[in-house]
Amino acid sequence: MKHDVTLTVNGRVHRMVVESHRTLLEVLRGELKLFGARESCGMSLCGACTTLVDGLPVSSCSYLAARANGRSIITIEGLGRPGALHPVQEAFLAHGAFQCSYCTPGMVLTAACLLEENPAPSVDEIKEYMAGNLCRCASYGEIVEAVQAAAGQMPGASAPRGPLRAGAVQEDGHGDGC
Amino acid sequence: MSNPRPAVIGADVPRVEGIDKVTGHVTFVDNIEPPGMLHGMIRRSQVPHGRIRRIDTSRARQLSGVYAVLTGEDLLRMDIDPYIGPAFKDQAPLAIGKVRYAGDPVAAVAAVDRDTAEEALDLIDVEVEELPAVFDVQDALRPDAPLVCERLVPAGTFADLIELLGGGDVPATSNACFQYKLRRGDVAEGLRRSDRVFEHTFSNPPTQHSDLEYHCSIAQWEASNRLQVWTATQSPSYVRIMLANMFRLPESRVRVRVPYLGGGFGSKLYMKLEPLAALLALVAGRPVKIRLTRNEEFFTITKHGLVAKLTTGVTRDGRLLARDCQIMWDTGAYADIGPRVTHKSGYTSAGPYQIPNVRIDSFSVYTNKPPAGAFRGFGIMQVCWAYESQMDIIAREMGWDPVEFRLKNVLREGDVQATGTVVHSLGLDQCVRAVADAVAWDYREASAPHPTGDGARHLVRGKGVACSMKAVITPSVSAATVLVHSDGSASVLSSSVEMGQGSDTALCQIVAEELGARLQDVAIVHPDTDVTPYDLITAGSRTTFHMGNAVRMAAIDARSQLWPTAAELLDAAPDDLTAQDGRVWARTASDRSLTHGQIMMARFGGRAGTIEGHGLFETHHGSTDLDTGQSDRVTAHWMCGATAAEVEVDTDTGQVRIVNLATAVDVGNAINPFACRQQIGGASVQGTGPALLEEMLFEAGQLTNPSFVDYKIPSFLDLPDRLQPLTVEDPHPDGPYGAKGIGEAGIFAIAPAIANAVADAVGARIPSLPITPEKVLRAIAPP
Amino acid sequence: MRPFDLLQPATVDEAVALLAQHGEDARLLGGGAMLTILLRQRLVAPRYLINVADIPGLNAISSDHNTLRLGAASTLRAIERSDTIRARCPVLAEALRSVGNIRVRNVATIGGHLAHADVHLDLPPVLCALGASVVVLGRHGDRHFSLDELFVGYYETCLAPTEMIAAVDVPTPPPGLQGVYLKYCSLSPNDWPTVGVAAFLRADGERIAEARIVVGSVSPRPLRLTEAEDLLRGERLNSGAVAEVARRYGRAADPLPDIRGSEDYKRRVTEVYVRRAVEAAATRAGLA
Repeated sequence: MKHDVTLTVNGRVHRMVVESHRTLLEVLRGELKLFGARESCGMSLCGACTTLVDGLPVSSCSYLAARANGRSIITIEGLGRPGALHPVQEAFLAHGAFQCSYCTPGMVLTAACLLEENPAPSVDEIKEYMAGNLCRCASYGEIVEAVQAAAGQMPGASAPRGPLRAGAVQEDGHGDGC
Repeated sequence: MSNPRPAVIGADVPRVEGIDKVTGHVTFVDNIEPPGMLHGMIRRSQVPHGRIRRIDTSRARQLSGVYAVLTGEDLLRMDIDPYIGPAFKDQAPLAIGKVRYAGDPVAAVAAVDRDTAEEALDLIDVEVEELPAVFDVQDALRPDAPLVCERLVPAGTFADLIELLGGGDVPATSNACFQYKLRRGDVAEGLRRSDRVFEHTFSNPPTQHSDLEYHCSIAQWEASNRLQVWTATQSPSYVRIMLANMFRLPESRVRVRVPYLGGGFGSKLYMKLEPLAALLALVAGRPVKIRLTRNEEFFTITKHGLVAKLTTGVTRDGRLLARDCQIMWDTGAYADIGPRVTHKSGYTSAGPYQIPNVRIDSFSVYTNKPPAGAFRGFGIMQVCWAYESQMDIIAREMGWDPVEFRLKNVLREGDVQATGTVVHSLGLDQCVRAVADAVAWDYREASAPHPTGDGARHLVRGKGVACSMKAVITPSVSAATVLVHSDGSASVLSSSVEMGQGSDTALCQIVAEELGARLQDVAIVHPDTDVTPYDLITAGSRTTFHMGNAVRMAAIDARSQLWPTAAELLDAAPDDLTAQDGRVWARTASDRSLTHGQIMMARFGGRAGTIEGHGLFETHHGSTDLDTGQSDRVTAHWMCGATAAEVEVDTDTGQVRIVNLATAVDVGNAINPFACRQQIGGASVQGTGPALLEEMLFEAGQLTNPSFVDYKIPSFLDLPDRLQPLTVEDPHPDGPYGAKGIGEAGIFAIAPAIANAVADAVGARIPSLPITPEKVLRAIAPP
Repeated sequence: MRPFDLLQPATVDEAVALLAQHGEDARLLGGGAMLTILLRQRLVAPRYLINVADIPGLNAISSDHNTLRLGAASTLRAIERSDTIRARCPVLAEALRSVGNIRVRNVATIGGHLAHADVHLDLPPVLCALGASVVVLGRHGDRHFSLDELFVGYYETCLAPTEMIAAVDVPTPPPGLQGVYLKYCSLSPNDWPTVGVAAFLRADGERIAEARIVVGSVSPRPLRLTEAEDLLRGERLNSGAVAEVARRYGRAADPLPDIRGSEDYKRRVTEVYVRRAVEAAATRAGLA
């Protein structure tokens, strides 16, 4: 079955037709050529495919594209770009919080969401929130440091909403979050 | 020329590719899609051992969107050499005649998309007559064991595997495909003269690399019979040679390109999917990409399981007098690089110690399980698990401080190692001392439980230490080119693969240092065998030492072509020049300086020209006596590391928590200290996986946990409370600036250090990995 | 994934009608955290998926004096972060923090979580102990089941293929009922539990007025031994009784051996964690 969908990806509107069984990850990589989200475990366990849907991190490998209709999607490509990096990206750079970087987009997006939710997380809170993002190079220590450093750089609670909520915001359970 | 002081070497410069990585813009192979590309997928055997009776692909061929269907039989009908394997030519891209493990590829399909390919795979009928199978190395060595591989044909590609052509006492009709033998002194006599003799057996199961990027290869044939390959490999030069052999092409007609890798750890060495992608592309007449799923990764390559029996004699005054090592490696259904693992770890299987009498018999053994190959350390983790566990048992039984016992016996400068090779530049003593200090080592004679400070009765703590050494792969070759462009910026052409270890940055640092260029003006050209010169492999901690030397030589070569022009302009002697931060000046007249661009401009009379510098670094092996393994030079350099762990054990459940993990590695001279510590820390945490969590579980040859649901790798929540990556610097005279390879040494001793700490905490010894809570609980409180 | 048709009903009635129409050819899709894994592994291959996660209003969290009602499409994360839940059922919110991972909790729905009936999930023991029930819609109209009735065995509920969970009702806990959910992971802490214990105690002065102990992951359905709970009722907290209760749970556990431990090991840690959970609950209830 085919579905006409409208996806707002990194602020850009895409009208397209997707099949029922197509995942968001397949659409991002296959149709939109956004390669920052990557498949690895295929089971929502590793976080390499992390994508923000209406501001919340989800595993795009297991999220049906048809369900994303009308929603706002942020990938690493939409979070920041050279010259205008997100504070979390700046901190990852400064703290060398990556090796092969296969996990990095997922780590960065998850950390960005964590800091919107909790501007000053403790080390344990960082580990708990990010527990489902795996790094086989095991740069976990540097990542925790980077997230803590970025926490100091995040706009305060009174600042206007960051880019993570760009697009439609639902007031129901799905939109609850960051 | 020599610089006033190294400017870029020894600095914590950030990664040259950092911005691409934090923005997600780095290219992995799966991002690449040549026009018209098809998707290849693999049908795998369900049975662990069987004769292929019939494979009917007719229905699959008729499916709309299918371009090619291949079986092992088809390969025999093509004008190719279908057999591959870095040690023995024992494997074909698709099984021919027999399947040898559950998961063995038997057929492959190329189709317009993955859905279609998957549907086509379902339409293939495979008939296999099951044969008796063998899953355990000890069973596999029985005379009546079913034979996994009937015929051994040495591949003859790698110079360090010359022993495959002879030596060892392996009967032709055995599942043992290779034996490493070492004889030094007289072990029987040494054991007789010992005051105490200890005999123990240790084991560890197969595990899986689980690099997050799956294997992925793309092949495309040009009409002119030229093969283009993009692939996630750690060995582009090797892949080109092997594809040229397979398709009987000159190497110049095979082009292998490698972008960034999402981790390797040994899984992406040698040939994996490249031949099958090339075969499907040839038949389909279109480019073909094959990428694996996480599930398939577990059936592609693994880290060897091992069973090791060690018999060790010691004197009352704490010296090791004799050690006998009987080691069996489970190399699975295909040898892959198993013989090199057996061989390279063979050198140091008796540990990094001064032992006058040593006997090592190490066998690479076929079983009907997924093939085992290289994993970070080429087997050192496994042998270290055995000898460092036993060292601790000996120390505790004899009432010796385990740190002192090791320090009394570790190899030092000028000592003769078990292979007969003299040890140079081995900072092992310092590594052991560094980690002992880092955990505030406090040896207590009695192994009484040590409760924690918080008063919880069920929590006890203990400390353990372990150390290890490894020989770098020798002989080997690395070549590099440095291009200086018309504006003075430079490109580094190297076939070293950036897979997370930071080699791009280290190599750029070296070139920047030698040219006196700014780091941002030096860029790396990723492996492209049409452009980047030969390199053996990106593995075995060899890049900094070998490719580092090659790019340094290439940079010096380029510099020597530029300096005469600069000297002329500056009215100085070339030897008097120095350069830093993109400027060149004469030491005698530092008020005048030139940029590299100005020098190029002067040299070529305008914005034109290229200066090309070449570097070739080779290491050589001494001749080896095949019966004794004795050689005056088994390796170009030794690497070493030590780990100390403090753990807390829950005596109600057996659960182990790592409180403090300190690992020290001798880095020679740190080219990038931050990157060194990151490698050591990363290796340490990665090492806690096989120590505590990781194990491939089989039931009758069927893998029962091929996913991250039941195969757990360390997460944020598994981090030690405190992680201390430490560097020791004992410069190597042949290393670039004294640097040594460090990618592996941080992982060697993690598991035994943890086991030794558990033994210290609860007085129980776990002889098999992983150290699960259940094993610990059974040891301290049998049911 | 094998192709299927994704049906997106706008109301619960439409969803129920679609279920009735397609019967066993259809599966309900909640967040899809579990189902997409099963689809990918081709362990299930339905022709239709009926998406109930996006039905407007089905994710409402509401409460009155007696009951907290969680719409079946409420995500685990929404429940975890709901102020009402944190105030009324803090143990539920606590337990949720370690369920799956943040991405799974952002999509997984409470209805899907329960309907999956996987014994390794964390919420069934907590919700069983809290006396929760489900509101079920289907051909037979509205039905209510306690969770005890809902769970039949491994991946098996009492629901007909044409029925769906519409809501989960959690009764307001009686004043003074205090509890914990203790989870033991024998592999990585980033895993589902080897054993999960929900223990609630209510104090009456220095005595235990009520004990509720439900254990997950070690039997085909959440394990609750009322006769063991009764050993505590009316007693002061004493280690002998707690140990006996724990022993009974350990003996009654009927776990499946896997990489997380043998049957014997899982029984042993069940005993340990029941004891620890009861002790922790006692501390919270002011009994220790």
